[in-house]
Amino acid sequence: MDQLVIEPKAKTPFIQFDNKTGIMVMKGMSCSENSLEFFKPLLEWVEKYGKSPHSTTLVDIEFKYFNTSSAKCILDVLEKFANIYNMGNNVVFSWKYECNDEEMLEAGENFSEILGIPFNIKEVETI
Amino acid sequence: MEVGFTDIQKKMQHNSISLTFKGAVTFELIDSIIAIISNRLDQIENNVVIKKKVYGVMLECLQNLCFHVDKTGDEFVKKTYDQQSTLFMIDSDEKEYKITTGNFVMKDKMVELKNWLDEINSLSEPEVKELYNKILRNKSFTDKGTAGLGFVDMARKVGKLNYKINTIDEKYEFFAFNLNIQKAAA
Repeated sequence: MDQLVIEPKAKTPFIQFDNKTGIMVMKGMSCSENSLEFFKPLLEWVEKYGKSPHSTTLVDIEFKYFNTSSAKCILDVLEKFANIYNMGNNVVFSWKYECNDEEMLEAGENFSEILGIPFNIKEVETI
Repeated sequence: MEVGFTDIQKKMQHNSISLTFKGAVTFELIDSIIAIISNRLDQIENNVVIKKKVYGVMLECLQNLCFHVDKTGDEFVKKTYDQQSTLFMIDSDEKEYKITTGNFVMKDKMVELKNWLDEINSLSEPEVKELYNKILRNKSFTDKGTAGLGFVDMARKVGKLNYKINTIDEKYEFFAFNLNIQKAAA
């Protein structure tokens, strides 16, 4: 299984899912009109990863902004990681939001509540 | 047409934003509009929360126009001298940002749209949040690949969704939609 790397573009985020280190990064903007197409390979990758996960998985989420269709897709990806966590694996969710960005703070709290899994939520200077 | 010089001069006196577009909206065009407005917002709006609200609402409105505008038939085009026409406006004054859109919608679809907007407008703030989470949890997407969350998200961000419907003919209606985003108190 290879790591999944997608370079960031104006409307799509940076993705680096690394099965060797267990570090999964989603970072930047996600406002494509075709979110389903963008997130489909991510869902497939996490599904495969879940069969033999790293001893510790760190899911590092840092979004500047995401549109409504991305919100649903991001939740789907996080749900896949949550399944790995619920199977007794060590999975840590880290949600970072930009300074004063109440909306992204609320989104992190919301996702954590929906999944029923605690997130480490942290304010950072910039994303 | 008489030009309102006083209005124009007034617009230049504060950190305003003003852009109007009429025509067929494409995703490529949305990218250009977003880039222009984002650039201007970076210059004039220091409040991150307000800036992201304007950005988010503008993006959802434009993507809505692109996904949901009804193609009108030849007869309609002859009558209105236009095709797949939409209107997008963003304007601001000292107090708020105003985002307005206008487009033609087929009558049968309008009933559904009106009911949806009225339902959202009838909800309290926590109820809007609850509805947002309910749709978010729902696995399904529309046949256009959208989440069905756009208007609920706008209501969550801004509050009341203002709209007006005017009958054009037996087949089409004109849908005008407006949201106002308050600026932070100075």
